[in-house]
Amino acid sequence: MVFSSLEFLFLFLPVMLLAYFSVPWRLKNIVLLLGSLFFYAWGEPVYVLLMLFSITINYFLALVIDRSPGTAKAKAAIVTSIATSLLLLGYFKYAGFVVGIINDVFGTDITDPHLPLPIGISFYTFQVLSYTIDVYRGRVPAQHNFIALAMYISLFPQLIAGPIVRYKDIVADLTGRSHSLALFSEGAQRFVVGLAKKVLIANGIGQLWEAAIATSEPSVALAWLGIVAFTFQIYFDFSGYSDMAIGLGRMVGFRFPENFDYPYISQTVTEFWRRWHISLGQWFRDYVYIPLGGNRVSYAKWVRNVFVVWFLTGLWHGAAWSFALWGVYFGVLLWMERSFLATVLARLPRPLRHIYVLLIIMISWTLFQLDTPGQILGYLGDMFGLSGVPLGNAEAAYLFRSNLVLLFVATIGSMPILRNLNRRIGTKPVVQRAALPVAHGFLLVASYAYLVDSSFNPFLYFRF
Amino acid sequence: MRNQHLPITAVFLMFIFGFALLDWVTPPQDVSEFERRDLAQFPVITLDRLLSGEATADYATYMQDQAAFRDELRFFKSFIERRGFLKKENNGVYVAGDRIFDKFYGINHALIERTAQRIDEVVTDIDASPIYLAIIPTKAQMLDSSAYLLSDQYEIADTVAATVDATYIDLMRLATPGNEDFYYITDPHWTTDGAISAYRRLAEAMGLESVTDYDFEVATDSYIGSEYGRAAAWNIPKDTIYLAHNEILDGMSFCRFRTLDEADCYDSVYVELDDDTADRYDIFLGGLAPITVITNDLAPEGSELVVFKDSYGHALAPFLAQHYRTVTLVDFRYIQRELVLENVNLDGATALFLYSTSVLNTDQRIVD
Repeated sequence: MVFSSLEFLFLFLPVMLLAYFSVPWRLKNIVLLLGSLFFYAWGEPVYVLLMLFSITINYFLALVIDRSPGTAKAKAAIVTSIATSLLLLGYFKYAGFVVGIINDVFGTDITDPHLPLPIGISFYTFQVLSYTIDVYRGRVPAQHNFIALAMYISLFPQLIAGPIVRYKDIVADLTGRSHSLALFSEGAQRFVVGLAKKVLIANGIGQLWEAAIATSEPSVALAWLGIVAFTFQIYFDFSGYSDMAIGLGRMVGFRFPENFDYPYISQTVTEFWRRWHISLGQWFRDYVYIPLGGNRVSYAKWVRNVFVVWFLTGLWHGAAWSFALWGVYFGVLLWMERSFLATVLARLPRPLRHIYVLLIIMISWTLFQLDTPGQILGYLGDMFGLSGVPLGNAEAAYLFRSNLVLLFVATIGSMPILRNLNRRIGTKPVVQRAALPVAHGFLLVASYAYLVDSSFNPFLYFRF
Repeated sequence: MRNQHLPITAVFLMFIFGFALLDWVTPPQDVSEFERRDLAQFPVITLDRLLSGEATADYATYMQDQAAFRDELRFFKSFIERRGFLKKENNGVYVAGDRIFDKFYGINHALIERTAQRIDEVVTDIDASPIYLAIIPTKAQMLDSSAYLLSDQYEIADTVAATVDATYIDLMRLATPGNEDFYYITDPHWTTDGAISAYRRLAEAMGLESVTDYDFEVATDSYIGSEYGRAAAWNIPKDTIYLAHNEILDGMSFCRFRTLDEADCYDSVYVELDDDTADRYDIFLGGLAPITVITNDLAPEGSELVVFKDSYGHALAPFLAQHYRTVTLVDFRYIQRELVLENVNLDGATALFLYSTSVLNTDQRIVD
């Protein structure tokens, strides 16, 4: 089940909220857990058992670690936890990819198992690992309450697409969170904004990207229009989903970490990755980069660390060489910026730095979203006029005109203009009592109208 | 910030609980009048269907189809698209002023060439003479191509005319600005006016003296064509279907062959439709069929016309039938070519191949 669906909005969510706020405190976690399992089982009726298996085994392994810290037993338990989690992730996500590599390298004919990817496995596996590793490191005690742990891993707001909530960041809320009208209202506002970002902007602009890649009349202008559209689509899609997750969390008393911070205003690629999918970057920093030595090692090892992290970041997004290449592409850029490019960039005017970042990002999305090297090179060839296509044509002109308002809204929405405006005038009573409730009501009804009439409602990060 | 918490929470809760309740209490509808289709019903729930995910997927469709105020919400979405985002289209159709136009964009050259070759093979195989060819443009051709994304429909007509060995009659100018009334506002088909105009051009080219004297009857003034639900625009009026009458037309009868052996016969070219018939255009010869035969006892004996056509032919054929004892309509999308050649008498008949650009551009079935 996804948040931007009618069954979530008008079946799951009302029943969940009613049940959650009707029961006494001691039953709230059970309600949340049962609701979360139902939420997951709605789309994955069989793989919910896989998630329960992962929760159960790691619950016991963490207890073993907690009882005998620093011992060989604890070491064996953490190795088992990491191995089990990575094997499950590897088997379900990477089996086909690995089989393909083996067949290519050794000329074998092993059959690709074509396993369907359990929804959200990349996200909840990383949450499980953050829990057992932090217990092993002694940063948090093991959770003795199975329900609390199961709820942490399966909590429906962040189960499918994050943010990747680390256990230590949420442990206090698991057993002692508070509820208030203010928190609920903040959550509702955040949810509504996220829903509108997803349904009104991402889905609309996504159709422009679809038109650009499906065209029989390619042109330079259309290629750029398409990649600009995808740049907006993936941001509003994913950050919208994160907003909804954070909002839903607040409604039931959880404060999830932020996942996006206006990434397209960045002036360096390094800054972009501090603002884009923040929880994933932090996870790789804490559980891969720093354990490898981070930057407190020799230059050669630091370079290795950067590339290992970005190679893995790429592969985390998908089991394909194009994703690995996408990760390494960013690894190279971050290495270059850290080594010399940042100094050069600092001397450039701000607009040029923005253009540099946006250009890098847009090129990266071709690697990310197109499937084959032929498609990627073909699209880049169109963008840079290397494939003999005309500069512009009627289709590009029409699609530009037809999406001009949407592109404008997306541009404004990807900058902190509205946030700053809200800070300025949001304290005025008329804004608080009338304008904001009316605006949120409008966004809700408009999103509902689009959901009722839409057959185009993809969710890009679902497949990770 | 405190002032906003209560009103925003109230708005949010009223929205999710209000619509949930409305969805719950609103009885499910069987069909959508505006979209002209059956709506999804509550799915069959079995363990197998739950485990396979089919039941939940069907439930999602059910919720979408049976959403309370579905029509109003779809119109609201269209309003935001066109007035808010200033788009010219909604769900793949253009809304220009108070009319709907198809988004005719993208020409399937390979399909058109194959279809034209297949039509030419039929022309070679049949003994009919003379043989005519006419291509019907869609109303999108009337739009300003600098403001809308459109393909040139003449390309299709030119390709087919150049390939098929038949006398080509140009109907492409039917869809020029000023002729809006030749097409329904809410449907791709031509109106009775449009069909009469096409008939006059065809008659002139075929050496027939066209009949000009008609009385008109309003069959319905609330026709909802297939594009109405896609556009979902409040300002679009419903269509009026006019039926033309004169002594010759009123004397015609026709049989609609469901198979080669089974036919429904009528003593008027206009069929009385049940109230629940979604497509009121079916009033013309009862809608699509593999073979339809119109008989006009007032025409000279032995005069025969065979029309190979798509649905546009239904509103037109009775006018042509004013000059022929029998007019046989063949729809290759519903019958194999070999069966037609074996069972339809084409000896000495006049033949007309009459296809719309939209069918030539998208429909594989003429080739298959």
